[in-house]
Amino acid sequence: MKKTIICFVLMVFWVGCQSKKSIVLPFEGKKLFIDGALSDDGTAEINISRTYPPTGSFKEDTSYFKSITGELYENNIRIAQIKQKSRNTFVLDKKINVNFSSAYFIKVRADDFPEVISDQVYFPKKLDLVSFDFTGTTRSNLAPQTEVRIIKVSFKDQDPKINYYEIKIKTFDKENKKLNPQVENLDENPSAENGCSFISGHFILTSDLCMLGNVKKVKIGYSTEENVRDSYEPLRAKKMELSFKNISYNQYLFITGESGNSGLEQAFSTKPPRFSNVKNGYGAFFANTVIEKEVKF
Amino acid sequence: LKKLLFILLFFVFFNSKAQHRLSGYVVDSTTQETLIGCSIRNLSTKNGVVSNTYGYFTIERASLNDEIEFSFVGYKTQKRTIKENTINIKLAAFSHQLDEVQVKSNDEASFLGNEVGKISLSMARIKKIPALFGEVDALKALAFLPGVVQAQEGTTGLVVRGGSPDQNLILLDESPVYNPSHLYGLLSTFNPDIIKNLDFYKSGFPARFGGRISSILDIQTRNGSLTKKRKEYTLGILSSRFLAEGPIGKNTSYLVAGRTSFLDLFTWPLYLRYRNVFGNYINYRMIDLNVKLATNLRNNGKLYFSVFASNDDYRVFERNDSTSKANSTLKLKWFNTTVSTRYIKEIGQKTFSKTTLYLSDYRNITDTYLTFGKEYTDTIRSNTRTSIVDVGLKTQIEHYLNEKYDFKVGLEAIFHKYQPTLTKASFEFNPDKNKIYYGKELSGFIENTIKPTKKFTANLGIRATIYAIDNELYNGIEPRISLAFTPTKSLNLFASLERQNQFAHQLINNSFGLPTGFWVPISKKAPQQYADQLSVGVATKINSQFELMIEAYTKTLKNQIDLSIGKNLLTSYEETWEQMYESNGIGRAKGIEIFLNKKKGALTGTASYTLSRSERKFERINNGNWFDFYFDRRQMFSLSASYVASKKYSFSGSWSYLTGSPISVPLASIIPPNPSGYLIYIHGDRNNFRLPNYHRLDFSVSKTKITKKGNENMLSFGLYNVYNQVNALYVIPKSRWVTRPEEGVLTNWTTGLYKQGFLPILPFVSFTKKIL
Repeated sequence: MKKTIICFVLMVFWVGCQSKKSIVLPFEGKKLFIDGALSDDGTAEINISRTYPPTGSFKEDTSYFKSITGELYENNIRIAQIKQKSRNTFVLDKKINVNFSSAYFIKVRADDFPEVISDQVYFPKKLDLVSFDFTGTTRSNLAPQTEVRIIKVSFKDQDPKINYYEIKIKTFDKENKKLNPQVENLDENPSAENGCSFISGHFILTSDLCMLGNVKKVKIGYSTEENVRDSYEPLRAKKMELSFKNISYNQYLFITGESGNSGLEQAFSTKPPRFSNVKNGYGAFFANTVIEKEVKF
Repeated sequence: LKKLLFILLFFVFFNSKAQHRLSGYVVDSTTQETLIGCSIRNLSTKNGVVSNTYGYFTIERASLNDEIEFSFVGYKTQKRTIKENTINIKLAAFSHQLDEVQVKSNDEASFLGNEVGKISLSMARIKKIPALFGEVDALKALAFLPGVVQAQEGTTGLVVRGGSPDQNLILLDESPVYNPSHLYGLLSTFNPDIIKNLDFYKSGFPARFGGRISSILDIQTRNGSLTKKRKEYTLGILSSRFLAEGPIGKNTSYLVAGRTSFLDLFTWPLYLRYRNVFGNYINYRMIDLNVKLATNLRNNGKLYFSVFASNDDYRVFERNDSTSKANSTLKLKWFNTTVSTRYIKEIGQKTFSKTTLYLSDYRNITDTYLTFGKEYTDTIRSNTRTSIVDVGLKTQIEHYLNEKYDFKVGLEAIFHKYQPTLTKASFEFNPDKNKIYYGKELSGFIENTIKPTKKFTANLGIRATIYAIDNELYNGIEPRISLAFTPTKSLNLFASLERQNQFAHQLINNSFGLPTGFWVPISKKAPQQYADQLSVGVATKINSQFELMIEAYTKTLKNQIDLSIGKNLLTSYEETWEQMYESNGIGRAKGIEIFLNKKKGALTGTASYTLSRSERKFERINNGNWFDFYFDRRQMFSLSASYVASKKYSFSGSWSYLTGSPISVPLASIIPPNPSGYLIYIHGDRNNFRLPNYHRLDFSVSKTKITKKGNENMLSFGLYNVYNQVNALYVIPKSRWVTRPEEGVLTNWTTGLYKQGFLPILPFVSFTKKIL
C-alpha cells in the first residue's frame, strides 16, 4: 500500500518533467565497514566490508580480504587476534574468558585502508530467563491463511531502564538446508509502528517498553514451511535454532538503521545517519549476552 | 523605549498648530475606483500624506487657501485650492491614446515607499515581468525582490528571509488565504485581473498585522466600475479567464471574475488510450471565482462584500491491461474559500474606521483507489483530508491627530478549527488521526506613527495575543519598532526591530513542494513559534531613473518543528501527526540584500542580489548541530527588464539564479557484510549536500492593439526557460546490479542520483481581449 501510494505520487511528477541528469556525489575515500559482536561465551564474529562511492559504476572488490588483520582488546590489553573464517567473515583465533566488568574493543586494518578502531563496549546484564515454551501453533497475523509455531519467552526484568532484545530464528529442512522463516510478534498488531517491535525477516528486535509487569513475556510466531518455485510441495522445517540476545540501544539503532526505505522511497524520506561506534570507518562492534536453544520437530 | 516614546510624543503635541483639515477619498475619474498610495501634498505647508488602502486621506491646512496637489502614477496630477472640508478627488488616468513620451515617463512608481519595510506593487508593474505561459502572477513577481525566492521551480510558495512558505501571512481583502497555489503552484490562486494593489512586508511589520513570522502579503482587490459595464476575456494555455464589472444603480458596483484551465483537452488522447487499451490518464481541472460588491452608503460609509473560491482537481488513472478490471486512481484536490464583509467609515475628519468579518476555509484531499486484477476483487481505498477553517472579526480605528502623529488601534478575534488529518480507509488505521482541534485567538494592537520632524518617522507598535486550545492558554507580546530618517530627498535610512508570533505550525513533507503541508495547532509540545528580527537599510535615488536599496537583517526563530527522521506524512496510517515531528527547534537567518530599480524610461527593470544563510537546530537531528535549512539559498540574483518599443510592441525578459537547495544524501555505499543482494547506504547529516545551482531565462513579447471601438487586444508570445536548463526539482536514486547467484552477493552495480527537472524550454502564447 505504502509503496503504491508513493509510486502514484511519483507518477504525478514524472508527467511533464524534463529528462534526467545524474549528479555525482562526493566520496570521502574508501573505508572499512565492520559488523561484529563478542558473545558472552567468549567467541566473536566480525563481518568486514568496504565502502564505495555513493554514485557510479563499480565491481565487487575482494582483493583486500587477504590483507585484513585485527585484534581484540580487553581493558586496553590485546587478548586475541582475528582470523578469516570465510570470505569476509572473521572470528577470534581463540576462545576467551569474558569479564562483565571489562571494556572491549577491536582494531581492524587492511592494505590501503585506514585502521578502524571501535569504541569500548561492555556486556549488558545477563538475562534472567524464566522459561521457554515451544509448544502450540496459531494463525499468522501477517498471513492469516498460514499457520505458525509459537515460542513464548518469559524473563525477569530487574533493570529499571529500557532494555532491548534480539530474537533470531533459524530453521533447517531434513537435509539441514537453511530456510527463510517468517517471524512475527504475536502480541501486537502486524501493522503497528509503535516502536515495540522491529521485524526484519527472521529476527525481531523488541524492547520492554511495551511489556508490563516484572516478569516480561513475549510471544513469537515463526513459519515452518517455505514454498518452492515449480513445486507443489513446500519445504518443511525439521529443526529450529533460536538465539535470544540482550542488546544495547546502540545496537538496536545500528540494526534498524540498515533497513528501511530503499530505491524510490528514498526520495520521500529523511534518512538518519546510521549508528556507528568505530573511528576511521563505519559500522559497529558490540558485546552481547546470548541464550541459544534448539528444537527438533 | 518609554523615554523615546515620551520624547517623540512631546515633539508631537507641542509642535502641533491650529488647522483646517481636508479629508476624503481619491478615486479614478472613470471607474470611481479608489486609489491606494496617492500622494497628497499641501504646497503651502510642504506637508504630505498618502491615501490608505481604501483611498482615504486626511491632511492639515494652514488656511482654506492652501493649494493641495494630488498625484498618482499613471494619472494626471491635480493642484487645487479647496474650500470644503471633505471631498472626493477624481483623478484622470492617462489614456491609451497618449503619446509615446508620456508613456515612457509615467510608467513606473518608486519601490521605496514611505512605510519602512513595505513594498507596494501595482498590477501594471507585475504585468511587465515575463511569466510562465504568459500567465501574469503576483506572487511570482515578488520572487524578483531581494530576500524572496520561490520554494520550488514554477511554484508560488514563497520563501522570505530564510523562513518557510507557511510563515507568510497572505491576506486577500483582509481574509487569510492558507494555500495560494493552483496547478501544483504553477499559478497562484490570485486572479491578476482583480488585483488592485499588493503590499508586501519582509521587515518593519506594522502591529496591525499578526499571525505569521516571515512576511506579510496584503492583497487588495479592485472594485467594479461604478460608471460603465465592461468585459474582458483571456485565452491562455494554462488558464482562460473572464471578467465582468459594472454598476448596479448609482452607488453599487459588481465585479465577477473567473478562471479555469483546459489542460484536460491536451490529455484527451491519453484518455482514449486508457479507456480502450491501457495506460495512464491524467486529468487536471482548476477553477477559481471572485465576486465583489462595493456600495457607497448614504452615511458616507462604504460596504464591501468579497467572495473567493478556488478548486483544484488532479486525477491520475492507471490500467495496465486492457482485459483486466484492475485499475488504480489517485485524486488530489484542494479547496480555498474566503468570504469577507468590510465596512469602512470616516468618523469626523480625523478618524477612519474599518470592520471586517471573514471566513477562510482550506481543505486538501488525497484519495487513492486500487482494484486488483481479473482474479482478485480486492479494493484498497484511502482518503486523507487536512483542513483548517477560520472565522474572524476585526475592527480597526485610524486616528490622525496631526501631521506629526497618528495611531491605529484594533482588535481581532478568530475562531480556528483544525483537522490535521481526516482519514478514511478500507484498511486498518489509527482512529486517533482524525481528531479535531478548536482554537480561539484574541489579539489587540496599537500602532503609533510619529513624525517629530519632516526627516524622521517612527512607527512604534505593540500587539498582544491570547490563544486558547485544548484547555491550555498561550499568550504572546509582540513589540514592533521601525524608524526612518530622510536627511535629503534622495536618501532614506531605516531600521526595524520586531517580534512576530505564529499560533500555528505546518508540517511539510520535505520533498517536492506538493500541497501536502498539514496545518497543525500549537500544543504544549510545540507552543507558538516566534521570530525576532533586526533589519537596517539605506535607500537612495541615484538619479531620476535609478534608485538603490541595500538592506541587512538578522533573525532568530524559536519553537520550530520539523518532521522526525524517517517519518512521512503521506504514507503513515498508524501514527498521528503528533508522533511524527521534532519540536523545540531554533533557527537563525541573516543576509544582505541589494536592489536596483530603474523606474523610468522606455527600458525599466530591476536587479536584485541576496547573500544569506538560514539554519535550523533540533536536539535529535544531526546530533543537535546546526544544519542548513531546506529553503536556505546562499546566493540569489535576479534581473527583470521591460522595454516599451512603441505603442504596439513591448518586450520583457528575466533571468534568475539561485544557489542549489540543501538535500540529504548518502556518504557512501556498501555491500552488506551479510549477503543480501542489495546495496546499503551510509547516510550523512541532514541537508549535507546541495543540488546544482538554479538558473533560468524567460522572454516575452506583447503586441497591443486598440480597435476602432476603443477595445484592447493583446497578443503575447514568449519562451520559458529559453536555454532549456534542467533545474532539479527533486532527485531520485536509482541502481542497477548483478548478483552472484549462489551467494546473492553483488558483483557489479551502478548507482546514480538523478535530478528531475520540471519544465524544459516552453513557448507560450496568450490572447487578451478587453471590451471597454
